[in-house]
Amino acid sequence: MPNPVREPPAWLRGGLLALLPLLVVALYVTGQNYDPGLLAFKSEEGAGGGLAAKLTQSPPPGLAVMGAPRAYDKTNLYEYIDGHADAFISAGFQSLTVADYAVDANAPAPDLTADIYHMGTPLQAFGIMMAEVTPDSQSVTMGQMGFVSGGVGLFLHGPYFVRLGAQGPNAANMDFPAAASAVVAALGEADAGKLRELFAFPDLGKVVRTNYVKQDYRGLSFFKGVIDREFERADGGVLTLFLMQGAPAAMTELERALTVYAQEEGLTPQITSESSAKLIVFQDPYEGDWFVYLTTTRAWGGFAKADAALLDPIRQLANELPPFTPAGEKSP
Amino acid sequence: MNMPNIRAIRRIYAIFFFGLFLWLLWILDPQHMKGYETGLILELSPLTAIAGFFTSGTVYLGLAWALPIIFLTLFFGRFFCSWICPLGILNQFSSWLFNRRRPVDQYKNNAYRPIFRLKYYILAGLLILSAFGALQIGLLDPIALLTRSFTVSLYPAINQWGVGPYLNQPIFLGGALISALLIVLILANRFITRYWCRVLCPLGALLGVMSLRAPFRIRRDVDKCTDCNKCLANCQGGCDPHAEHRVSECHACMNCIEDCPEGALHYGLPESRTSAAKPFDINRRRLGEVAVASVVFYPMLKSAVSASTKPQHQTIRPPGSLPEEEFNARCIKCAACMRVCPTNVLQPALLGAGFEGLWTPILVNKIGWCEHHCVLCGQACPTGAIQRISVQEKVGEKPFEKPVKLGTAFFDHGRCLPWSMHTECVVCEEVCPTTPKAIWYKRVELLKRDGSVVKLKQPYMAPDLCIGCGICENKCPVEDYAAVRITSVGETRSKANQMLLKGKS
Ligand code: SF4
Ligand code: SF4
Repeated sequence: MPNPVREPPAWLRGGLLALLPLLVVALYVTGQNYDPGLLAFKSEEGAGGGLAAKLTQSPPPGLAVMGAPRAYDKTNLYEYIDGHADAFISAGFQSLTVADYAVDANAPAPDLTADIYHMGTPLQAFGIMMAEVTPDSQSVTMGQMGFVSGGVGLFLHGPYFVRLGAQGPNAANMDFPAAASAVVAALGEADAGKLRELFAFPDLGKVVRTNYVKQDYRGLSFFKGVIDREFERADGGVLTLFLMQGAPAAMTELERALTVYAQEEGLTPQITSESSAKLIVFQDPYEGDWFVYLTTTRAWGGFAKADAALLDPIRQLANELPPFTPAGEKSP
Repeated sequence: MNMPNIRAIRRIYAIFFFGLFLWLLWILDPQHMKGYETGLILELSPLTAIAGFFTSGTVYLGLAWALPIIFLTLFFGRFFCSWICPLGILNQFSSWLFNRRRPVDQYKNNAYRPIFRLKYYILAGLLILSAFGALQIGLLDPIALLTRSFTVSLYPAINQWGVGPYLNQPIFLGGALISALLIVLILANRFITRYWCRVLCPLGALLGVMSLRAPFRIRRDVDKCTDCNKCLANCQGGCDPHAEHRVSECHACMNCIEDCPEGALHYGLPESRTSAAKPFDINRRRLGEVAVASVVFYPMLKSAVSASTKPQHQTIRPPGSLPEEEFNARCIKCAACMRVCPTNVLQPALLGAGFEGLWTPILVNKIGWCEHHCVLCGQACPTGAIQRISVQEKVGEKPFEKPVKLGTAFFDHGRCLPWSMHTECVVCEEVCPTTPKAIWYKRVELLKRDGSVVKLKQPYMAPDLCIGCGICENKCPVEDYAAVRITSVGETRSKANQMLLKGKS
């Protein structure tokens, strides 16, 4: 007997079935169209990757790697540095690779943990490192700039900021420079020229201290992302010079802000135009004498008298250096 | 190739849409959501679109998806309930599971009962409240209800076994209550098939009303019908296909067509010997009573203390939230925002925001904090109760002048370690994400009880810099009741809930 059930026509049923794959395709296509910065807040570079393998292959001398290195990105950084993640993310954080090492690979806890932060640019890596350096830290040759304090070693290598943390009974004997070399080998060459450009200071004496101030340098809101360096001069005096770098538009804005500041404070700065630079000298009743030497992409300044001994080395450096390229720099 | 029959196609649709619902909710997290239309199933609900239109005067962009559903229902009946609705599909499946091995009289179970009218009264009450401006449909809209239940109870439960979608095990305020309601709803299917859909569902009722004049419907040829009643055996709607058909109850599940041994039933336009349909079964007197009750209830609702009648310190809303009145006019309590939030700070409010705010999202900073660079809840919200803002807007980067402020942190000096216990602690200052930091400190030397002097940093708050993200409260080492706590005052979204920070002129 023929099936008496009265089905809707076959073309209609076929059409209904065909709608589903169409819906899947539409969903998939729209799903790929998004602003990764907004939604995924994923790192630009896949965390870990080849680095993890290199760290495993060549551990620091005398140490063995414990388990596979762990990788974090912006989405889960807070799991590792609970409560402090935002300071890193707002400073340009891209990814973190964590490797644990121990004298005995089967030990219950690591003797050394290497936290390798990719901070996007050397300036951002430097900035975050300086926020971590404690006053009692000793300057040590590690990477491009390094410090050790107690059981912690910090160093800079291109856009990477590395924190080496020693713990347990072997901490006191930890050879931080050797461990740093192993990490540097895994990271590969860093561009030394970039670092020289980043710390574009003239040689004014013995460097006592280098600092990074993200915002409001000396309470002045227009000084952002400033590096300042303290020198001990031949006569025993101390001098602080600061440097702010950025795109030409940022320097024009700085010049404008300085003018507005002078007006608001009732100051009459002396402005001298040079071939491709401008010298602005302030006599400030509160701050004393200070100056800013402005080029198209850099501003040097100092809270000191703008004499030739100070300005000539700056002028010379300004002529030597290529313009600063802010590519990839996250505005501080 | 043989084309599957219409019942099989309906089952394929049901599996597809239920799977789609599970998947879209599963990927609703920072790592996986990409640009996927994660709110799609919520946006399909005509009840959300219509009630939201009543309360806010607008149809939020995503909710335009409901328009095709409305249009199709007008012509093809209440198909949504058994082809698309995830709660309907879940109910149907659990009814089948419960009754599979029991000697149930399916004919009696699937016959129409007067209690099925209840859903129309519920719908009327909710729509009248909406017309006055109180959006409570989220409590009972089946898709919002299921999204909330899965986000707050089922997915976290699965996560306990290590296979769930959450990065960290979440916990939710009053989660057990939401779980219990879901369990009761599912268990009710043991007594009446699709209990929720037939008796309670306001969306089902709305679609039922819309389908009253649908030209395409189940039709019975009275000449062919032998009154065997086999069509009742698997009827999902309880809509009497064997007699005068109740169109508003029919889910267009197509089971009756497949079960009829005579081929007396078909889905389509009327034919010469088609039986008549039963008029819409609703008691006008009851309807009038419900209308009066709703009209009376509305001013009562508005006379109660709630975050919209008086700012409530604990009603801290997610970044991008509309002012409280408008927020309540849009939020459907679906908890999509709670699902996407990476820190678990978003919690379903209990009665703290007022009855109107039940299960709407609030920040509970003991549980989490608002990540400085996260704006995901606005992306996930299907109704625009939380607006889509950019990270720049949230943190106040150019061209935006100020960051979005959720509230303000206050120190409780009696509990703060440096202030009252002579103990060094600057955790709150360390974690504060603003630049410059809203928390700062003064170095002080204090005389201790034993006469010794201790040097400490005592923290202070700069209220104009604080954005109310709550990380200080969350990380404060005074565990149970932190020494620094956020309240909603100063929130960007409210003109009224502000402090006088500049002094009186
Ligand atoms: S913006 Fe804040 S509240 Fe919203 S999802 Fe992100 S962390 Fe949660
Ligand atoms: S605010 Fe949250 S709970 Fe309310 S509608 Fe939006 S996503 Fe759903």
